[in-house]
Amino acid sequence: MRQYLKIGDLVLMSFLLALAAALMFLPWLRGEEANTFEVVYARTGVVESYPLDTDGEYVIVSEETELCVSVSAGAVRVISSDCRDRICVQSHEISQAGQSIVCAPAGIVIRIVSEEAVSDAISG
Amino acid sequence: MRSRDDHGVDIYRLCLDGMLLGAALLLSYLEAILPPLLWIPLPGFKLGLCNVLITVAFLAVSPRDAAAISLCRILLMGWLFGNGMSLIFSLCGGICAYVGLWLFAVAGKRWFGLIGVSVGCAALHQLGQLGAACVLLRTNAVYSYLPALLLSALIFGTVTGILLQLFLPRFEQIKRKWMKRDGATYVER
Repeated sequence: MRQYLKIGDLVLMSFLLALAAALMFLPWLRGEEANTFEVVYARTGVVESYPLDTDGEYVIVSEETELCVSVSAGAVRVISSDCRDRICVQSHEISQAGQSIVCAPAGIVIRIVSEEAVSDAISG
Repeated sequence: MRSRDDHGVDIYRLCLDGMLLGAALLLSYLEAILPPLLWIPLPGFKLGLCNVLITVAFLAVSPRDAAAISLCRILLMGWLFGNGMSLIFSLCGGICAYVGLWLFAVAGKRWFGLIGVSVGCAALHQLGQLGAACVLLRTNAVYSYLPALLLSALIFGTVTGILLQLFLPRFEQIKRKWMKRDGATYVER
């Protein structure tokens, strides 16, 4: 009969915990400033940029799915969606560079980009 | 009662596989309706209860049967309750989890117990699904979900590992009793 807990189990669990913690706190440690968020349409590859420092609401339509995105105090969240699961609506608001909200049925990714990433894209 | 039919098919293994597949389908369906109740806003988040049965099939029946049960479950769930995208996500996650079973339960048998097997397979499952999402959505922004998914793999992998520790010995006991009562010879693979 297999043993309940072995040394490899503890090593693996510690590794996963450390990795998750490192990935979670990396954006804060980098201290990247973010003032833009992008909407990526996965089907067409189109990327639209919007300012993060201007409060407002945007309606995004893709694959016959309509999303309403709100920007408030430098944070982005999806306030309504026509998709089946509505996981994007239940997701927390994002405000740090590297964070994203995904609506898989609509094929939309909303992500916060850092100023360095934007200037790299422009110069590259 | 003969253990094989006229075509050489092991009847008892077929029944075991059918039973495990039916139970895995039922658990998958329950998992599909649970996330809105638990309010865990992660794309593709599942508790992984049916993975207990896949692992039981892998360890107590045979790896080939486990692969067949997993594939049938994914295809049936995708056809009945999902769509093309969810089918691809599940397939990629399922393949990675199956590779994890070989890695942790066979190659790493000396170092990993059932909890380690469950946690490792859960983590690989999440990575497989994220990889599929990255390719389908043509962006690596989805990897921002990785910390939360790794934590969920850790927590719920531990839960399924404990369930596995409880269920596997009982399944093996019932299987042996069943075979012995009918006088059939169970062929170990």
